[in-house]
Amino acid sequence: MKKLKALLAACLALTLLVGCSSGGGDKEAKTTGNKYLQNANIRKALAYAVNTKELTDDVLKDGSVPARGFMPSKFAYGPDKKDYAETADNYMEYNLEKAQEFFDKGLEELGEKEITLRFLYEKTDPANTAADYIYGELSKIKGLNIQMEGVDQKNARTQKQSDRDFDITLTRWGPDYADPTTYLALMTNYDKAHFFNYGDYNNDKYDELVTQISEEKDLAKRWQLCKDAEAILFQDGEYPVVPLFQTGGAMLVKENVKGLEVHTFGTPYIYKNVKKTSGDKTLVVAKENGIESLDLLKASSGMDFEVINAYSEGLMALDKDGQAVPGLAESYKKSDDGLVYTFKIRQNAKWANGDPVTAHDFVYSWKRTLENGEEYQYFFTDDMASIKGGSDIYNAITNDKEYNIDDLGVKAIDDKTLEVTLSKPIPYFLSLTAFPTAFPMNEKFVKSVEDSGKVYGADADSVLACGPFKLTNYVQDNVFELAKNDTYWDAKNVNLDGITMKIIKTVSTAEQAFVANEVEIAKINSSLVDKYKDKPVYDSALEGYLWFLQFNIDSKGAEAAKAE
Amino acid sequence: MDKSTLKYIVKRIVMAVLTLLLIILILFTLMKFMPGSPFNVEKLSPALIARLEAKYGLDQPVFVQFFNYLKGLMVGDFGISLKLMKGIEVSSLVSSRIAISFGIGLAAAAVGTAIGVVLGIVAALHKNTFWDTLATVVAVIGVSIPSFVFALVLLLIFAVQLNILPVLYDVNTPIKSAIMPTLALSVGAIANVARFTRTEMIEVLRSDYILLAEAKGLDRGTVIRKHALRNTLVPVVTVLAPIIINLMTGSMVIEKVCGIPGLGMLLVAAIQGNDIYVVMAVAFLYSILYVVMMLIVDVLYGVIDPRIRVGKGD
Amino acid sequence: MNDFEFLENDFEFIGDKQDIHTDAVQPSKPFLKDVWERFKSNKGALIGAILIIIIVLLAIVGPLIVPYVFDAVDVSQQSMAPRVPLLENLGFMDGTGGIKEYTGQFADAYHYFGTDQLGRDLWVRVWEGTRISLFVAASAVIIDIFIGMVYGLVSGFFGGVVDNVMQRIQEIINSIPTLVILTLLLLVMTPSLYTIIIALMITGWIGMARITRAQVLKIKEQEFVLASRTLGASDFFIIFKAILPNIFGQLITMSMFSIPNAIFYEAFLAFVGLGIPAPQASLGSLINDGFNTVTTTPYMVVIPVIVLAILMLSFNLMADGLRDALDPTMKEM
Repeated sequence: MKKLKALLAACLALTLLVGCSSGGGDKEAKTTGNKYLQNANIRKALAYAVNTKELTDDVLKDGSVPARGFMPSKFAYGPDKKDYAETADNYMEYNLEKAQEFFDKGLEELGEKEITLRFLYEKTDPANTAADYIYGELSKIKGLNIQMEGVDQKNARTQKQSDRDFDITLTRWGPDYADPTTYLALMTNYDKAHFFNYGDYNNDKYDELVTQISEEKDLAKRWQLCKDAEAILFQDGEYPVVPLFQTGGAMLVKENVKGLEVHTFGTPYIYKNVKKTSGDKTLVVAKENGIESLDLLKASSGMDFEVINAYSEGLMALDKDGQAVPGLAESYKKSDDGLVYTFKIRQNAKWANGDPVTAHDFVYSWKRTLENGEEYQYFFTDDMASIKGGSDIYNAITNDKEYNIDDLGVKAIDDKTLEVTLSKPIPYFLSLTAFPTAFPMNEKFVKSVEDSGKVYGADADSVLACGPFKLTNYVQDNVFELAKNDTYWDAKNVNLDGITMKIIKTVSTAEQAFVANEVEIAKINSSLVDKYKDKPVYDSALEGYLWFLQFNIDSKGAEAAKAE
Repeated sequence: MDKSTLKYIVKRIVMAVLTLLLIILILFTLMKFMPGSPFNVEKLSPALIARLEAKYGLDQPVFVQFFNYLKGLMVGDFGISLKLMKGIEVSSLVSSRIAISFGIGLAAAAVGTAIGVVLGIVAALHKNTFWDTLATVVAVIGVSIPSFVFALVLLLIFAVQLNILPVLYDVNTPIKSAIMPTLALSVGAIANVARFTRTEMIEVLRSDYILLAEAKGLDRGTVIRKHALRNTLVPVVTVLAPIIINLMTGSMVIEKVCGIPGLGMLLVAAIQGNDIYVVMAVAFLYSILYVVMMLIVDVLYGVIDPRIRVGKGD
Repeated sequence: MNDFEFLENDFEFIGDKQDIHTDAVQPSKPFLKDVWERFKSNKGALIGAILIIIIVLLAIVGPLIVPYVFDAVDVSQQSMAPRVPLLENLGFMDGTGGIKEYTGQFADAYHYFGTDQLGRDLWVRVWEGTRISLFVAASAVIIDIFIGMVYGLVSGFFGGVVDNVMQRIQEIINSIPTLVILTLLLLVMTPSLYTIIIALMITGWIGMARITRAQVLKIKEQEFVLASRTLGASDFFIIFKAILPNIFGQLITMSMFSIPNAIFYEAFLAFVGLGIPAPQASLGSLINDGFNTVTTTPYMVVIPVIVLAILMLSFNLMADGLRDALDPTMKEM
């Protein structure tokens, strides 16, 4: 008996020991980056090691496309009216031999025989599948060991990234606006609103170039500078990131449903122009997420924007090619220096309660978000819409200093005329007015909701529509119901009588619902694509997310450490 | 009710309350250790995040936050959601779902117990015959195969192929949409209850007083109805509590598969989004349920079997 | 009394409707032999035990008999249906029905359980997954028993305040729903093989502690303990020599019952996404992965489910049998 006791005790001690060591060992935040990844050849090797074409065509199979560089396709169009992706170079190549070559060179330079790198990823689709595949690919490099660290939720991943607790991370970025600078800014190293440069990539020449871009007034020259900046990232010795693929949205759409628009930034799915060629006039869609908030102060997820965009609209709207077209504003005038925009709001633009949509509604909304916003508060600063005074007010607010909100460069000249002054002549301003954060809010209505003690956006009665549909009902995590808004200025062109969005969190259930005719549009993932890809109900559209591997480098920190 | 029973009950209630307080403390502490933040670390600057944390009182020392939370609990304020439905009170988020989740859980428990008891009795009465084996097989399958697999099978057969039940949970037809989830969930309960009932029944049938009843000339049916059943069912009560708890909490996966807007889905989503107050509220709710259930069972048991409360040894 | 006449139909023979127990004095058998015989006679338990042995053997040997590894990604072989050499001639498991077919360079390849979406062989993944599931379950249970036993022993033996406090702590831990604790714990500690074991064992030891304590309380008052004490035996000696042998049976049975529980919990965690990290597989994560394609390639989820079911089934049967064999009068768990 005693021997048994001793044995058990030994087992317990051993297990606890091993458990603690493996769980606790890697917890220090890597503030000086990963010394192996600081070697440029190692990074370049990883860039050549992943067969992204096989990843998108055979593994993901959902319409995703391999990345050609740091910019996705179909989201930014230059002064030549061409898609950036079509006229820029292709920097990604798959070549396992070259990868091994670079890797061996890197090993030699480092004086190591083999290295281990920690791979951080999120266990949701498509990151899950992609990570599994990438593990397989990277394992083909001799001398490289990959230790997978999957986390279950995006927050955990972003937290780890923020803590620099990774070597390689599989991450993505969706464009905030239709311009290459939304991606280029990610790799800069000066104080900015986004803190995406978790790997602490540091290249002064690059930073200078990006600053130059933001100040360049000649649009053609500016466009070329963007391409030059991207080129720097993929020169020898750089490669802070390895772009992998742009997500495709594979979905099942009933054959009688036409006109669904998928956009690469802002609101992902737009229903205004959907037409059903047969059956009733209500569209039923399956969505995978619920909404977080319908209040422009807090709205930020794709689903939030979808619903907001269904019952609301901005000065401009986006057509199916992503170009800005008149929305609530029937026309606009741009000053010669590109700094002042004057919008004329339609006479027949109305809120669902009969109030006319006025310029004041925009002024109120924008100032409200700048002062109290919790998500896109930086929308009005020089990082996005560049409204005059926006950055100053934002900095004052975040540093608890004095400010005057009326210094913001937006003014209601009269009820139907809105004048906006920018701090710099950004070419993408118009498309930003189609971004939900820039939508108007009816001040009287908002105040009446808050006075009655309710939270704006808490239920269908606490939001006011000015768009093609109005919200009639919602049950969180279950269903959203919208009905056609007859007071909408373009109501005659809205074909649907209503939309029902059913929240279904598992793809297989959504597919069953589609087959049972309970929904008419359902998103699917790679596991179901094979079954449907040759059928007429299958559809896929490119979304704006670009997935890439980011390395924890901290080049400056490493040099400083070496110098000591 | 006599004095000792009353004392026993009061004692158990006090214990229950203390336990709950401690549970809140543990949950709160665990939440603080959870990695990630409800705020969008990716797009917001550290300065902004600090402001948000101050706005929602998350920057204060942990014990201050804890006391504020407790204070709020006294008046029924469970805090507000920071991520899932920003700004909305947690209590309203949770209350709408309680009915659904608990409803399905209780229904599954009822169905499971009823069918389980019947199966168990049948098996015991026809011990070692075909019926016994059949019941055992059914029970065993119920224990071995996960409930979510059942849910899927039911879905495929009834909803997709035969089209008589809806695939998706529809709040407008709560009963009809709840049939499949309830059935899937009840399978595990059926299995457990059946096995337990069978064992109990066999024990009871073997005992002396049954033999006496039969010797006295009562026919089989009356013996079973008047004596065996009662004595078999009483212990079944004791296993019901954990079963009910299991069903309430085990419905998480069923909710995911069937698209039911219940507490389980809320908890999972809240955990994934670091929505602290929502997680606390739901976890706490489950704990209350558990503690109350245990309390009821303990009290019942004590009332039924006087040996328990007298000889407790404290 | 004498003029009482018994008629023909006053008595009814009920002999064959009841279990009539006849008392017989049997020759005394050594304890273990007794247990073994009772166990053997329980068909279900035997089947359970045999199945477990088969599965454990397969888990150890299975991956070695095929030329594939569990993490070799090869998309050209993705989603191939199971193909078994002899059965395929019967038209069953003959490699048809998958996404990719057994043609070209794969004409002679045999994936007994097919492949998954990334082309990894499922036979190897299932058995390695079983290994992990078993390892996790066994470790958790062993640790549970150890902790539970020590806890119960200390609590029961010393009694008084110590006992009171320990019991309260136990109640509190018992009151928090396991699932909530598990989920939160696994979020705080990144899931890995060892953290899952730790998480699983957090609540599992309570059952063992409770039984041990009950047993200790019962035995503490018995005479042979008093005798040992009078003879000068230390507490330690009494605890291990006197009490332990008496609860050994319950120990074994308890562990047998907890293993399927632990396996199930692990599978459940994997299904909600908190399981073993990639590229490792456990039965639960395989079921989770295969769930999505159940309508197109059902074998990906059916096979792990069957293995899981057999495991749980066998452990349950064997545990039932063990319990009956070790102590036929014990019916409460």
